Amino acid sequence: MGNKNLLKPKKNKRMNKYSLKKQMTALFAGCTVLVFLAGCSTSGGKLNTSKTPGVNDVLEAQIAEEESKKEAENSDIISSEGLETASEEASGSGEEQAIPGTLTDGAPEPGEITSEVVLSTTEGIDVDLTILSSTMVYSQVYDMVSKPEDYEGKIIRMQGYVGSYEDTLTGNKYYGCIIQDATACCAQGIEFVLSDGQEYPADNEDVTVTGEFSTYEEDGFIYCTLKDARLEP
Amino acid sequence: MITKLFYYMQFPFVQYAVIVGVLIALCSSLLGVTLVLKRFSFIGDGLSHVAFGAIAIASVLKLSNNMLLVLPITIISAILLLRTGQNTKIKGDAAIAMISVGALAFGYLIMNLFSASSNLSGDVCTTLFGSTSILTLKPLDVWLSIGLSVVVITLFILFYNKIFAVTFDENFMRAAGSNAQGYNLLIAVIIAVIIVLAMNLVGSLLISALVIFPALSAMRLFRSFKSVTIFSAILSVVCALTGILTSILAGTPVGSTIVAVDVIAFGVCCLVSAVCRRQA
Repeated sequence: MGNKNLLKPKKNKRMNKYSLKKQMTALFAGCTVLVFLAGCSTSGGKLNTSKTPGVNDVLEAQIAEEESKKEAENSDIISSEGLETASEEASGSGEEQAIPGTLTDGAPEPGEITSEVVLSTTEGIDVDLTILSSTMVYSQVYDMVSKPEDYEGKIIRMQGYVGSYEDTLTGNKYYGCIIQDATACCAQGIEFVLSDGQEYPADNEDVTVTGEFSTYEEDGFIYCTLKDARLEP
Repeated sequence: MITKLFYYMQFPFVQYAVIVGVLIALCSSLLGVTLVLKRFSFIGDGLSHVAFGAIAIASVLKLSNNMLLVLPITIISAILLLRTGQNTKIKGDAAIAMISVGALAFGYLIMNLFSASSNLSGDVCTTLFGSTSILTLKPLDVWLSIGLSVVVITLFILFYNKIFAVTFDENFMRAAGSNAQGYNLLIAVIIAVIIVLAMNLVGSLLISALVIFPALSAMRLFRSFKSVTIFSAILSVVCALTGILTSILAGTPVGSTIVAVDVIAFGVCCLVSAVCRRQA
């Protein structure tokens, strides 16, 4: 009898312990699901509509802008063909595959990031690296350097510090915009050649460079460069 | 922030990183429970340093795919450590420490003497801390990781009972007529594959965290081998995913962010376990 009494509470205690563990586990799983669901709901909801323009708003604005430009240039007639082209460009629905981080003729994508782009970049930037986080910038530049053919002719805007190298044999001096990764031990850079009349900045100076991405071959190696580059104040 | 995340998710290299990160986290956590229980928690560190040495040799030899050299060397080291470690004069922990620091020293020496790279410190840092290497994967690397992960998961599921037996009572398994040494060899090979894969994610210095933390966290909450393994796998994947996405959004180093999330998860599991014990 005494043994039974001793065993009974032990059993209950054990059961409580396991049921509590199950409850805690279920709570943990529930919280995880809730976090994901909450994340999904906010993305498509109020945030986009209240703070930033939607896709249709942006498209309409772009079409209107193109229309007004055409009107100013040719006050007589705006061809319907031209209008169609403008709207296609604005919607980014061309056959050419869009590279992420790419803006087609300044046409913004919906979302928080787009408002930053619209506010800070000038028209005609294809790849704007200044809107990405440092980890993303490093990876994107790595992608550009390893697959230069995908970015040939694109207008790139990047922010970094200046690094220069002088070839003692040829006397040529090369300037690059250097971006460090998050651990600050690795750096990626793209050379830039300023358009005529601009002075090159000093080494280690922080700069924002915009230029056309192109490649050239020297001593059997292919190098990437931003040609006709200009510095932003 | 969510919009920014979705925007970043459009980048192919981010998609590759998420796929490979989740697979590596899953694989490492599966074997982590066995390694912790067999008192081989530090083997991940030792083998990753061996892999670092092998990468140094591969980079000096200018191999186009260094995996061809790194994988066999790491597998051989794992076999030597796990199979013969108990029968030799140098016991398990000393053997791991010896191979670990030896490979690390030789790796750096080789890189320093023979490497033609202009950014030696950058190369070393990338290999040790992962840096952003998970975000610079090529499609071939991704397919290789997927293939190896599928092999690891399939082997684990197929030999689950044998791995369970060899984890808890190797002598009993041997007495029952099973080939315990063979299964130890299998575990060694799987661990080596996981280590080589995980080097891309967190670098060679932080690999142990991927192996140990999910298993230890699960052991705070569960008691059976099966439940610990399952919870460890889920937790590892959640932590890896959270770490990768956080590092992309906040611009922090990927490897150390994942490990930091693992440490926080371990703390939470300890807290939950303590609360459970107090209330029980």
